[in-house]
Amino acid sequence: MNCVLDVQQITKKYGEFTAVDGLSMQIAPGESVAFIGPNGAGKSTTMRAIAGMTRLDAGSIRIMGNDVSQAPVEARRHLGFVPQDIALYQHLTGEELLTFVAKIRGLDTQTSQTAIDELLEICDLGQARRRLIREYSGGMARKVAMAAALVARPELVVLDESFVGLDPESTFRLSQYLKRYTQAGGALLLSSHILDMLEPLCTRFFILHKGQCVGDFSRNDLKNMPATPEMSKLTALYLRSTEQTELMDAFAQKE
Amino acid sequence: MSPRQVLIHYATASKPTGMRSVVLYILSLPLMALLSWGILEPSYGITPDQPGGIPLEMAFWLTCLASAFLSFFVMEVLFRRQDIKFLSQHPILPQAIFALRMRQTFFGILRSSLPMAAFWFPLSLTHPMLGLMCLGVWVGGLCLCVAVSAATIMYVGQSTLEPSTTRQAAASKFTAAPAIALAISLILVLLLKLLGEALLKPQAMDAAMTASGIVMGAFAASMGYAYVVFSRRYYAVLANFSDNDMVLLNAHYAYIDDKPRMRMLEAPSVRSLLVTKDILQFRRRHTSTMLLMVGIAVLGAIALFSTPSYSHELFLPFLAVAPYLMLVHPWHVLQSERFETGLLDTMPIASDVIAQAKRLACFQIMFPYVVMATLGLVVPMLFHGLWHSAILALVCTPGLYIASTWIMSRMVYRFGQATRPVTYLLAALFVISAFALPTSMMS
Repeated sequence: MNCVLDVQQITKKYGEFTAVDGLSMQIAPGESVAFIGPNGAGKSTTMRAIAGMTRLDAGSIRIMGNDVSQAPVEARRHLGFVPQDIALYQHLTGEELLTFVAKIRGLDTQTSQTAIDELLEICDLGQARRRLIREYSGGMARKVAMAAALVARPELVVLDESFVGLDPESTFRLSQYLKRYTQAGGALLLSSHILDMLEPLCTRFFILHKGQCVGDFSRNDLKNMPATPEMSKLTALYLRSTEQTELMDAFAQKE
Repeated sequence: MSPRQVLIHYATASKPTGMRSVVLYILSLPLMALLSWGILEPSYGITPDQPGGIPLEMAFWLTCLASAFLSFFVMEVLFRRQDIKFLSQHPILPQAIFALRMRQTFFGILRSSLPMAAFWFPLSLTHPMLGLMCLGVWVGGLCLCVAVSAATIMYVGQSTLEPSTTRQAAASKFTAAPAIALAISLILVLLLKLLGEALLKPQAMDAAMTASGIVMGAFAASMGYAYVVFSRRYYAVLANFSDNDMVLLNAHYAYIDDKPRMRMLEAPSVRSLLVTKDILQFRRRHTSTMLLMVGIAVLGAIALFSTPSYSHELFLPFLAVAPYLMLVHPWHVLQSERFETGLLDTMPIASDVIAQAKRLACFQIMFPYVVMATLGLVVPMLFHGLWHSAILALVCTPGLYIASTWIMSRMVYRFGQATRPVTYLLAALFVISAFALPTSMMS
């Protein structure tokens, strides 16, 4: 069992619309994978399927060898997930929520306290740790949701558009934390439209278009690409993979 | 603490009971006793053939009414509540979630039993056994409804996991599940009522034993089945339920910035602004609706004054509220404006503040109508010397209006734009109650 996440030929349909079409991917320990694609490409559906929150029409997903649909509790033990539409206990404080998650995931008191303190510091929520979550801003709620996914340091962390609405300092600090997390052997799957943030953070770029994989590139592939003055390499790669060449031409002409 | 204890501890802490709720709860006790004085005649219609009389009949209908809400509520707490989305991301055994939810639901039934005990208190002073039976029908009926609803939703949920089930079929099954559960529950509640009657007749002890066996067997079997299926298939059913429940659009997410959202201290001022806006909007855009509301009230009052006497006035508060729930309730107008403009969704205002403001606006808009409708009912009743019914009308007419507005405001989170059918269901329940209660009075 070398891979943390093993997605095999998954398909998900909503009526006539195929959101994900025969997608396969594997993520190994220590890999940091960016999940990129236009709106409606199937990123969130795939991530919800990985978290066992949507029923697949075909295919299978395994986390650390545990089938998400056959062994849901065991699979969740190795997974931290932050969905796009976050849902939290509004009447707990940030600290209480993290303590709750740490205890549910079986962390002992000392380990959990150290992890909670560190994450609250990184998320810049130290001052707000004893405030109710219902009083948090949208960005603060998103940060505490990320902290909840990371507090027990599961083998796989899946973040769906989790950096939307975060301030630059928090984005930077959390990116650094995620880097350390993957360097220590954790696996990360992250979707975002902020390509400039993904480029230095991720080691692999998985491009999804119309429910299918249209590109799977490593950071070395990206380095070897010819540089273009008008846009970043990842943006160019993304536009090319999603067949938006006319947009690239428009950029080039503007420059 | 074990993981189950941790879950119960934090889930309970996340639902604090405010001081206001405690005060309202305590106030409800004498109010319920007063209401009981208003509704029930001193004779209670007890005969040797019908030892339960009117009170047991009324306990049955009240339990049926509460079961109609409870069967939906069970589906809500098991699959749709916001915290389920959070809990389902973590490695929690389904059994623990089942235990938590059942604990919370049964505790809620227990909490409701105290006001109901207050309701049956005047009766218990003269007929203690009957009072106990009425309370038993309420508590037992609701517990049965919870067990049957949990079993039905799990049975239906499991059946949707078969590969041959299409998405449309699964959605239909999930929609129908509470109604099926309600139908089964009502049969069992009827059996419970018959059991109550049998227990009041010493010669019918054999029938009582049989009925109690069936009721307890149904409860145990339902709970057992629900527990087993929940333990094995909960996450799969939950995933399927989420797929079929609704498709959420989160387009505005990208536009929410990091400005601090509404603080608790700031909420009232923003809320009053929203209330003013809602009232102005409504009065300026919906003059004809206002006239229709006044028209309904005036016509109703004229009809009552011109009626020399009425024998079953108990249903009047229900009928006074039902038509404008269906026709002219301002909630629909204000809510549709919210969906049309979408303006508030993009502003840094907590959704509960918006809902509170809308509720307040509804109350203010409808205040003159409610006063007119209440006085229109109470004055003729007092004129005819029906003071029991007058007390009932005085409490029920505004009470039903406030309750219906509150229910609608809660429904919007669950059903989005589909609140109107839910309102029709509510109005239909009021009309059914209007006819069922006098029937029970006559029996």
